[in-house]
Amino acid sequence: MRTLDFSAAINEALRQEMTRDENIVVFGEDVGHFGGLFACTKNLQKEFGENRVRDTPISEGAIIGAAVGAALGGLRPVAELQFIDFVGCNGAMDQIFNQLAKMHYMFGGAVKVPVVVRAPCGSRYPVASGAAQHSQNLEAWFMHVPGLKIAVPSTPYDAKGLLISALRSDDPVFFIEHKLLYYAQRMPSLREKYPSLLDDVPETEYSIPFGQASIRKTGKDVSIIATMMMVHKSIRAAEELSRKGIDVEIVDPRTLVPLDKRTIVDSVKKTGRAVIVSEDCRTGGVAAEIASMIVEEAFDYLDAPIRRVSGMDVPIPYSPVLEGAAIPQEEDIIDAVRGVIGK
Amino acid sequence: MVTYVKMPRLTWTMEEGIVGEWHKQVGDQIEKGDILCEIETEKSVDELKAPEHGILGKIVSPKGSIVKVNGVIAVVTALGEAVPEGIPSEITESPVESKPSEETVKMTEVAVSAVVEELKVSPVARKLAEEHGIDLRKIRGTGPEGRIIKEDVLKALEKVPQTRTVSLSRMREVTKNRLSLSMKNALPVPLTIEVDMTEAIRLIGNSRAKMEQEHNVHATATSVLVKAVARALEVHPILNARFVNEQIEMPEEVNVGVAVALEEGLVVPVIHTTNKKALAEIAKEILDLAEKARTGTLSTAENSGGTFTVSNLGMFGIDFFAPIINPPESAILGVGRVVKKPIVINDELALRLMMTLTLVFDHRTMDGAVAAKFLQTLKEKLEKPADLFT
Amino acid sequence: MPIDFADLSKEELADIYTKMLRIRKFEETAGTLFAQGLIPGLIHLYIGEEAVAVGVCSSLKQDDYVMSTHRGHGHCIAKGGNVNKIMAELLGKATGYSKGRGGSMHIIAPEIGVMGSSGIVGAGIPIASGLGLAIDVKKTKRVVACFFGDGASNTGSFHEGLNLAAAWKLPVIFVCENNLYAISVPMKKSTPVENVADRAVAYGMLGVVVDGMDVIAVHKATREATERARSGDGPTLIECKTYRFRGHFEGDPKGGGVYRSEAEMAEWQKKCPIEAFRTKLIESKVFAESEIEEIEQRCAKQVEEAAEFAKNSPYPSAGEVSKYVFASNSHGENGK
Repeated sequence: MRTLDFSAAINEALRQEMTRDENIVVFGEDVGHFGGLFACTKNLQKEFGENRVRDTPISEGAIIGAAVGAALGGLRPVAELQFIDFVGCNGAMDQIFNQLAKMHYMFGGAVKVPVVVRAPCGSRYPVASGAAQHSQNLEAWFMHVPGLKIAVPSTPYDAKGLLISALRSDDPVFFIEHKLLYYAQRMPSLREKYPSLLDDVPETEYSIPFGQASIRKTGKDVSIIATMMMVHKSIRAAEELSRKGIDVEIVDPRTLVPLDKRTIVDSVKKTGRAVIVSEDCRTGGVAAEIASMIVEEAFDYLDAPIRRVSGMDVPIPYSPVLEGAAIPQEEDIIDAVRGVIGK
Repeated sequence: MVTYVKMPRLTWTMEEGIVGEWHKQVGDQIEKGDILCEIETEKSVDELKAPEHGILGKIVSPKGSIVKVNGVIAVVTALGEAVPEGIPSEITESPVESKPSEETVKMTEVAVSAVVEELKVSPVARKLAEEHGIDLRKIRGTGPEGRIIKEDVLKALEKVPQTRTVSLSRMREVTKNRLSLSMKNALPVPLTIEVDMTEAIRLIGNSRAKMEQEHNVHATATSVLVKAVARALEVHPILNARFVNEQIEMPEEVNVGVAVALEEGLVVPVIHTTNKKALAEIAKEILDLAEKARTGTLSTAENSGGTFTVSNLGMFGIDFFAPIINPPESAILGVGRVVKKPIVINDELALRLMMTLTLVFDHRTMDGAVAAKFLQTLKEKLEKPADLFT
Repeated sequence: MPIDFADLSKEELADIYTKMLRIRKFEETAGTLFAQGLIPGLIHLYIGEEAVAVGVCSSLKQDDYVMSTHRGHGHCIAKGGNVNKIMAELLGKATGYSKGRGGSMHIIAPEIGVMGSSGIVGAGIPIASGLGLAIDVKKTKRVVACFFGDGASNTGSFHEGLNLAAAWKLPVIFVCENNLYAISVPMKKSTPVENVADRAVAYGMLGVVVDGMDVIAVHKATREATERARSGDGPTLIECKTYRFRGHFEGDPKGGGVYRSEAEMAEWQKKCPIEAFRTKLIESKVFAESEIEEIEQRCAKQVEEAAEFAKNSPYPSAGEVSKYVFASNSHGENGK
């Protein structure tokens, strides 16, 4: 077993699966020769050749559209959007929600479209400032589209296992990677603050089924449901909270579609209190959907109102002072937990 | 600052309350939460606590006043402050005020705390309270914003006396089922008659020594009664009948059952061919069967085949009662206590030992007239009991 | 002067005529059924454009791919589609190609290479490039024919799809069915170039303008393009000048007469591709009138039977509404 970075885990999943299945192809902007902006596709072109690992023009519509077509033609494409913020560019959005997500259904199951769309999301605070158009979390948009599966891994172990699952799935998968997770190996300050960013990753191939949450920490007072980078902030917050005698449980859904409702609900039934932590904007965000679901399934067990700790409804600001205020921090999580417990 | 103390709404249905004992006098210094007076409603007596600290400036409603909910009962002022001239008779929550002034509005706000507010309760706490019948208004909430949370309800539960449930024993179950059956199908009618047991009691006393000597047992009121019943059943056999499968069966034998009360339940051991047995025999058998019943050693034969039941609650001081017919029998006799009573004999008062018998008969088998005749026969035999003592 | 039949055999010519006629009869019947209220959605009829689909598909092999559009019944029939299943799909029946879940704009028949149609204008173009990518990677030597209209040539999808296919030399034949109108907007008003094919130069690919009412001309142009594609020389843009004889959709007022002049419509009606081909077949004595009539009767009967089949087919069951949301479990986890 060795410790792997998030991007290295993704790279390994791709490499191992591409070795196993010659139908898997990878394309996107700068993924080939350069190895990807975040090193996720490093050396893949060297190993598998230009036929299977291709640099594309700046054509998000063509990237996703070609992925759809290639899948119809028998390949298993991995299309990369360089930033999830680019999903609206050049017809990519239509290809995702109108073609990719719907084809299996509207053609009555006549064809399968096994495409994996990979895209980085999220704020890189405090490491770098991506500003409004390179820092967003848009997974809520895609939760809303029937026919798309969505993975939101938070650790290298989960990333490799979920990506391998995605590559073997016959369904379209949106594989969303929080960009702050990529960097831990390279940034001592980051991994010191969030040791959970590094993970032991088995060298063998393994897959993690979609729809299976992971309980990062068991506890009895409050259930924190968190995704991606928020899992790591919650872990830090939990340490501080335990010093105050508050014992939180942290549930990491790992996939948003399908969502492991049972694990989330069982946790809330146990603790009676839920705090949902998601970096995306509050209004209409992921936390809103999970909160509604909890009220529907576990109303009689709630001992306090459900709290959401979400990003503010603002475009991500450039200046670090502002960006730090716009997204959830450990203090916000601690405040919310203390707020529902009242101590 | 003037605070108006209002009549609180203590229950959902309360519209007015009675001011009870005042615990404070005009001029007293009041702390917030001090008991000012008692409030009586049709359901209970509650304490009215001061919503603010200050001086009890005026008692508007003295003890005995009937005040509508939200009616002003008293005025609390700050030290040195005068009681206002015009005191509103009632302060409601509605925004339509007759004279909206800043003062009035402030007072309304303050007075609100004396009234029971909308409670903050978490869903799980509410559910728990509902399940256990806990009044949420009696619980102090320790959650954020004063919310009543699960912990608070659980604490309250500890103080509440729990109702213990006891499941039915087998015997209880059997009794219940048999008697339910009887009630469901039979048409029971009770008839009551008073019997002068003076002579019988006298004979019981007289015969005691001889009976003890010869039979090692003495006659009791019960055994005398049972023998009399058996004889009366010979005269009126319809009372001895059984109603089975929509038909009246006339058994040849008279088997009188005598109900025995045990801790676990009711048992009716049967004296077979009662009419053919002597008094001493009957007395002995009653004792025997009772003992067996108590030790749970009654045989099936001893426990079945009854055609008529006698049930005596006289030893518990009961005057009379109407027992439930023991199916498939057609009648049962409930026996009350023997008590010395003044009665009229030949237009003159006399003290006699009287006993009330209640016959409950099944109208499917017989009519009232024949049941009444049976009782008459029984009464005759008991009041002229010499024959029974053979 | 001998009539140029592009060296096609009598059987091949018969097939071409049959397919065009089948399309015509099918579309007319669909229009009738629509008017009777049996078709729940909108339909966009191919009447007048038959030579384009049939001209192109007659140059394709069975396993070559076709990407279709909202006006796609003709493409599917031209590629060998089963009229029963197409008609059933139009009526929303479970026996349709898409099991009633797609309707007219979402017909698919992967067994004959018809890889779907989209109601989003231009969306099929990058998808066709993707099919080309698959052919390239798997080296199957197939080609993709991608149909789209004059309106689609103005979308970003057109630009990106053609650019990618050209950059990677993918085996795609881009067929622009230029019927001069994008719904009601004439090409003159929306497109600054005279011919869509003129845009090919922007992608370094060959652009060809063809008379879309002449099935043999379309066939020949496609044949050359497929040869180019199969030999690895990359994509071609073929622009077929054609016209739809009916409105954009069934129910388009005056059959498109609100935005098209009577004179123009009459002019184009005279150029009916089926009539023209029929005349050629008889004049050249390749076919006897009776043979032609036999084909006509057969087509009519097939389409009649298709209508009956569709009408008598069952609807899909409402309880299965969420079936096919996902492939890996037949009922979507988050659906009910």
